[in-house]
Amino acid sequence: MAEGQALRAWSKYRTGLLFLLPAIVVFAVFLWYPIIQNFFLTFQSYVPGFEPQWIGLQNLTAVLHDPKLPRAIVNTFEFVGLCLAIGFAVPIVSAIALTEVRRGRGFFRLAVYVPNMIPGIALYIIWRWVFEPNVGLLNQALGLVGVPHQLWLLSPRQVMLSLSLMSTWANFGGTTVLYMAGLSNVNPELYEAAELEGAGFFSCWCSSLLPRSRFSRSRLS
Amino acid sequence: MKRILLVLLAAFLAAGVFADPVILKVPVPRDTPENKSRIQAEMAKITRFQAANPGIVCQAINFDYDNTGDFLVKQAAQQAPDVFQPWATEAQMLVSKRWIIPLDGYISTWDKKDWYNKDAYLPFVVGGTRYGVPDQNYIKHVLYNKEMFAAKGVPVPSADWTWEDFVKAAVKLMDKASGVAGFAPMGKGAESGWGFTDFIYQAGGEVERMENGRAFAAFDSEEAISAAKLFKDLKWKYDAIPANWANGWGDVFNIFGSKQAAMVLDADWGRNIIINNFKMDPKNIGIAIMPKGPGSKGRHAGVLGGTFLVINGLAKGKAVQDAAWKYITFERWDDANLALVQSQIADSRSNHQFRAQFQYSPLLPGSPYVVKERKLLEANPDAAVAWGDAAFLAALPRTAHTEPPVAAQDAYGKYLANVVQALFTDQNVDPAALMKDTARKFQAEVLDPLNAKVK
Repeated sequence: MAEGQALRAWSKYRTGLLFLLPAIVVFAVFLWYPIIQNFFLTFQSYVPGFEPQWIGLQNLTAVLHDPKLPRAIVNTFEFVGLCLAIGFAVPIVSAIALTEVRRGRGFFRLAVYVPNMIPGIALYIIWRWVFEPNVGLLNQALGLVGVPHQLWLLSPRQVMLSLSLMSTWANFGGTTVLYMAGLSNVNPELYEAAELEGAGFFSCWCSSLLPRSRFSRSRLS
Repeated sequence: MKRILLVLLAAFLAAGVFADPVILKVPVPRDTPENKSRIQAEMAKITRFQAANPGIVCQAINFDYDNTGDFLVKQAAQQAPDVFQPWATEAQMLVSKRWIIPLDGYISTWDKKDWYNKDAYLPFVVGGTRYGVPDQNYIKHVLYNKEMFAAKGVPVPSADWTWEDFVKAAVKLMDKASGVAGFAPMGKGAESGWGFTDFIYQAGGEVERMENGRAFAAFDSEEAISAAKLFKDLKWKYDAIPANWANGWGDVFNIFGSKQAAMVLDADWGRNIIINNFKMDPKNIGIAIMPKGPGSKGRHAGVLGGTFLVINGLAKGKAVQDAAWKYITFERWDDANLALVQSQIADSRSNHQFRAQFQYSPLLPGSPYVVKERKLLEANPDAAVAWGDAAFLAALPRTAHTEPPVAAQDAYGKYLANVVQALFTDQNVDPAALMKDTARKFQAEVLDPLNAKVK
C-alpha cells in the first residue's frame, strides 16, 4: 500500500525529472564529479600518466608551510575586495544610467549584456591585448589624452586592478540587467513626485528610489 | 610426426606474420599555416621510416613541446608522443617525474655517438646518466645592423669586445628623436629572465650552483648584481633601450627588423622574422659573440640551449622503446637530413624567402655532416644563409653556458623576469637588494622544496 503511494508520488514528478535528467547528467559529469575527484586528489600524489598514490595530508601540510601562502591569501582578499567594490558599484550606476535613457534602451541593455555571453578564454585573450603595454587599446586611448603608457598586467601596483577589471567586466552586464529589473519595480510616480518637488537627479535616486530597491540590491550583493 | 612439425612451423610463421605491429606515437609540428612544409617533410620521413621498419606503425601527433598546458594534458591522457623534443632546461623535471627513460644503453651502441661534441649532452645528463640526444641547439649571440653601425661611425663588435664597448656602441647608435634604440633587450615574459641570464654569465656569475645534488640560488653574487646594474644603467643612465621596453621574444625582432634598434640578442630563429617578415638583407646583419663582462671573472658567454630527443617514460614496453630509439636515429645526420635542408631551401626560394635560421650543430666541428650542410647553404645564397665566418664559428662554442639545471623556467619567468621589470620601471631600485631578495625568494619558494625531495 505504502509502496503504491510512493510510486504514485514518484510518477507525479516523473516527467519533470526526465526533463531534468540531461542537465543532471551534464552537471554530474562536468561539475560534481570533478569537484569530488579534486577533493580526493588533495590526498594523493599525482603525476600525469601514472596512477595517483595516496599520501594523506602531505599536500595540505606542504601548502600550510609554503612561504607563498600568506601572500596568496592577501592577494585573494585584495582581488575579492576590488571585484566586490567594482562589481557592486558599476552595475548600479549602469542600471541607473540605462533607466534614465529614453531612446534606444533596448540596444544599450543588449550592449551591456554582450560581455556575459563571451566565453572565458576569448575574454582573457581580448583583455590581454587591451592591456598590452606597447600596442594595447587602453594605452593607445590614454596616449590620445597625453597619459604615458602604463604597464597594467606587468606592473605589481596595477596588476590586481587590471585583473579585477577583466573579471568584473564580463559579469557586470548581467548584474546591471537584474538591477534594472529591481528598479523597474519602483513605482514611477515616486520619481515624478520627487521631480515635481524640485529634487535633482542625485537626490531622486539616492534619497528616494535606491532605498526602495534595497531588496534586489541586497540579493545581488 | 612430419605433419605435426609442419603444423607447428605454420603456426610459428603465422604468429610472426600476424603479430600486432608496434604502434609508435611520433610528433609532427602543430598544424598551422607556417608549419605546412615542416609537417609535409615530417610525414614523408614517417613514410620512409615505416618502409624501412616493417612491423612499426607510426601514429603522427601534432605536438610541439611546452611545459604548461599541452604536454601535461597529453601525458595525463597517455596521448603524448613516445618520442618528443623538450627544451634543454627540462631534464631534472622530466627525470623526477619518470617522464623520460635513460638512454645510455642505446647511445653506447650507436655508431654516431662519437660525432657529438661531448658537452652537447650535458643539459640532459642527470645523475651521470644521459636521458636525451641533442637535437637542435643554439648558443646566444648578438645581431647588429651593419648599416646603422657604419652610418654612425661605430666600430663593429670585435672578438674581444667588452661591456664597455657594448654600452658605448649602444649610446652612439641611439637616436631618441627618431625613436631608435641602441639595444633592444627582451623585457617581458619568461624570455626577459632568459635574456638577463646572458649578462649574469658574462659578468662571471651564475644563476644556480649544485652541491651534492641540491640546487642553490647563486644570482645574489657581486657578479650577478653587476649585470643588474648594467640593465638599470642601460635604461636610466644611458637611455639606450626602447622607451616601450616591455617587449617579448618576437617584439624585439620586429623592432630590429624595422630599424628601431641597432643590436639585439638571438639564439636561432629570431633572424627569420627580421629577414623574411621585414625583408632585411642578410648581408646587412652582422653577428658577434657576446661581449665580455667586467672584472677578472668576466667572460664572453651566451646561453646554450635547444631541444633534445627523448623517449617518453610512458612508452609501453621494450618494443615501443626500441622503436622510439630507431625513430630518433633514423636519418639522423645523414644524406636524408641534407635532403631535408635542401627541400627547406627550395621551399624558401619558391616563397621568395630565405631559410634564415641559425641552427648551431651539436656535432664536432669538421664532422662530415657539418661540412656538407655548410657547403649546401653557401651554394644557395639566394635562398639560404650560412651564418658566421670561420673565426666566429670557432669562437662561439667557447662562449656556451648551459642553463640552470633545476627549475630554470621558474627562475626565468617568475623571478628574473620580475627583476628585469623592476630595473626598467623603478629608477630608484637598488640592484643589489633586488637581486639578493629575489635569490632568497627563489631559494625558499622553489629550490628548498625540491631539495627536500633529494635523497
